[in-house]
Amino acid sequence: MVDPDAGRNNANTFRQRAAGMSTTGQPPATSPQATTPAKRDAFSSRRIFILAAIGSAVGLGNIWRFPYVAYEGGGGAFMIPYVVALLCAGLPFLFFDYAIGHKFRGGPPLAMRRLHPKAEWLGWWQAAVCAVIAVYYAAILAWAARYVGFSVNKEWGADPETFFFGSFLQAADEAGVSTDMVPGVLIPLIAVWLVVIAVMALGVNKGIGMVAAIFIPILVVVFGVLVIQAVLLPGSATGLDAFFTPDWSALGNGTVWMSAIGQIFFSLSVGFGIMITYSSYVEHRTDVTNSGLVVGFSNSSFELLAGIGVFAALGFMATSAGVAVDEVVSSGIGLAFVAFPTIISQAPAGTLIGILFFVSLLIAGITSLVSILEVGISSLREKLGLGRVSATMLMCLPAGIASCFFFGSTTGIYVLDTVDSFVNSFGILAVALVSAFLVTWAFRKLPSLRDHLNHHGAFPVGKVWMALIGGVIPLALLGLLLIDLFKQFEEPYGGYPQGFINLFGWAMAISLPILSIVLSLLPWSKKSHITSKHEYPQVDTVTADAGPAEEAGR
Amino acid sequence: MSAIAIVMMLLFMAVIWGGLVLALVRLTRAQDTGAARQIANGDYVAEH
Repeated sequence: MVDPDAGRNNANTFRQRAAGMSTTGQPPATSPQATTPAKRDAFSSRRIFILAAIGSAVGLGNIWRFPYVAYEGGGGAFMIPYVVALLCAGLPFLFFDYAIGHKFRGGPPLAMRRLHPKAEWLGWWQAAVCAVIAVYYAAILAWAARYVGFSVNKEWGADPETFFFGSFLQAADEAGVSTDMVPGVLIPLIAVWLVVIAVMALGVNKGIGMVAAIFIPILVVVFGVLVIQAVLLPGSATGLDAFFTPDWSALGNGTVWMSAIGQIFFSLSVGFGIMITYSSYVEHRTDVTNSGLVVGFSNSSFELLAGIGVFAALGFMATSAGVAVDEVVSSGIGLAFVAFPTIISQAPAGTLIGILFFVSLLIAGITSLVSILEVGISSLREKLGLGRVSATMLMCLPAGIASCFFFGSTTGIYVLDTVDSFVNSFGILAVALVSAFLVTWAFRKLPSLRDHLNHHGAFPVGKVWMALIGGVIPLALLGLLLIDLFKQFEEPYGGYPQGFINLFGWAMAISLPILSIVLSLLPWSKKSHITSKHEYPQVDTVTADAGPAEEAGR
Repeated sequence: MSAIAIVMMLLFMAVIWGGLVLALVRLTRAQDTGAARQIANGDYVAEH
């Protein structure tokens, strides 16, 4: 990934550009001051950008997915595939996203359109994936918000599972689409949407940036206190022992390596437009590669903290029940809304643990949800030339209505489970795979992205990075995709009816790239400079980067 | 906790949290890069 010479290769090029010359020594076709580009939204500082990117990366998956994946993947031995996946897949792809967003300064469709005229649909595919995720992600936040209140009196009683599926969700007996609304879910869901709409309407800096600046430090403190509480529980050492004891034989299992890549990939929020969008809001002078390292390692640091906290609590649960830890291990919704309430009921200071846990879920989820929504908002805004509030409404109102309809009803849990599974595999993985492959081999833009990273980062990237993006990572993603595909053909996901899977799984996943192609055929607003003949809108007042000059000189 | 579990926990912490500390140090030390370095050196202003 590191090419020590790469950073020096462009020193002269940069000096020429700073002097207003193209790389061929000719004056640029369009000087940076030749046009008066529209001011683009921006994060006020690098610190805010990093906090927002961490807020996006640290989400529900860090808390409820990583501990289980690590435990299943060999416990302490999982560290090896995990770190390899971080260094060889997560961070390189994060740099790839940063390069596209930072160089072409737009949401995914605009950035891709500027990268290559035939690449716009990839950006819309990423935006569409984000829109689908936002619709169900908000529902989980609504559940977490309710459970903050439930924790006070431990309202789930002696049977948290029956309470969650029966009393709270009022889940229907069979998967389908019901119009029977559940007020206990619907009302907090509407509240979540109102909050995020307000945040998004405030804009990049006053909305997203402010949320990150306030909530990320709070999340670290709240979750830190939770982990300390969990470690102090009787039996916590049993859980930590189960979590960290290495099973070296797991390293010989290819599935473990693939699951490490999958965990890093989903956890870092790379490949589906979020990091492209966020890096487009950063001023040119920002050190993108070193910022990426901080974001990547912060995300993994939080995951490790979550693993310690979750397994310490599960150790207490197993000890209390007099069973082995592997009998109480769970992940996802089962961990958060069944296992943790059980722990909260039994643990000393259980109410405090409950409030800390669900507040952590809520905060981690909200900072991620705003990043997911921002992809769609920036895309619509640029394509249609809309104002901030108009684009927010155009994105959030239909998404909020769909969210309330599908996930505020008695069948919401089944739809959520299915959509989540399919959009992860055949949305995120697929679009990341196709993007990396096409940008490398069809559009041949990796060298210019590498040069951009080396201009704007103190951590040099070179041939190794290009080999990872153009070869190793697409192959790994293809492997993950094929594994998921074979699983789907073996038996319908979750044992749901095939018609239900076809509608919310396959039809949803296949419709996204088709819709994206249609959207890419629509005309752009004249306010968006879609080609490199125009100066890209700048976010800083003093900049020496001249995208068009670079293009003109190539 | 067994000795091997403690060792793996400490190793995991050292790699991940150590990596974060190193990344923060790199970021702090390398603030002036690319355009920022040119501007800080006065090159950008002088050449314009």
